[in-house]
Amino acid sequence: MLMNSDGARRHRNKEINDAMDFVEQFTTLNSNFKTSSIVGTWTRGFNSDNDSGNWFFAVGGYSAVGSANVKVLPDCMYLMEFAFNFSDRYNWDAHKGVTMPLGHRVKDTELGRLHLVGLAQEYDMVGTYEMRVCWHKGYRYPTEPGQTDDPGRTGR
Amino acid sequence: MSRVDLLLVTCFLGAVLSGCATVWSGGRSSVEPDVTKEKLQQYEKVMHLTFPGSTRGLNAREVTGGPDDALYLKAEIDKDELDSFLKKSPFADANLRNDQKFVGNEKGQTWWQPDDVKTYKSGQVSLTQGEVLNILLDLDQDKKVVIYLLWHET
Repeated sequence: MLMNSDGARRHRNKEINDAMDFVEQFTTLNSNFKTSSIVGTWTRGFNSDNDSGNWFFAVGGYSAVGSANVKVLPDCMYLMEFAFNFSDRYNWDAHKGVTMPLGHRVKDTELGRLHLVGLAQEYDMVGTYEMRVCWHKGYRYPTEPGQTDDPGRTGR
Repeated sequence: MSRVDLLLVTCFLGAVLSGCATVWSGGRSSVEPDVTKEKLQQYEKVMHLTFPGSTRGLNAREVTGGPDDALYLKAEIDKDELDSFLKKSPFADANLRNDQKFVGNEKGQTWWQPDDVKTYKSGQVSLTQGEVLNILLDLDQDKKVVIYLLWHET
């Protein structure tokens, strides 16, 4: 999803930037702070049909949160093992449906019935994208189109 | 096969394939360049909002056909009605930020340009049944506020 959806990448970058904000502010206030684990708050995103047709159909809206293990390095540098955690329930809602090629409409009630009688199953979609981020104080990831995604020293 | 038959077959296949491409490129969506008062009332219910009297709908897009529906709305209100609008909205207790945008530009949606806004407040709230409402207030103008709203399911 992160490879194909601009929206999802922006969402991840916002979570990273929030973590960077927190770490920098916290270390300013607490000079003894050297290592820590941090977790953000869950936020929601949407894979638009304009952005990625595949992810629009596969996931649509979802929830995500950033978490990280952080180390403070000398010279205003920081190292973080960052994880972008994704979650969504693949389920069928009675009032919805999906339009297939050539206009064939499949109602969610029909698919939901398969779940109820044991012929299909709703399920949880979860995933984690992990990356190592090493940055100088003040660096932030791009969150708008056209900005280059040059993270400096990072790795997945 | 004659040339006429070949032409007919080619036209038929072209029509079928372009139809598939339309369906798969983005579910079903409808754009409402002239957002009527009736449409605004519908959107109010979906988004759990009450628009003030000065509200002018600038554009909207309804997205259906996927696992989760979405609704994009761009509207304009008088600046002096902004506070009362927010107080009556799900954002009444939300911490609207001026350093992070909860909506962004989208390919092929030229009327939706929140990334171009310089002075803004933005936030996200969870509604009932897994629904989410995102807002970005464009505060670049003196007397008007352009509001970007994105409602979607999860």
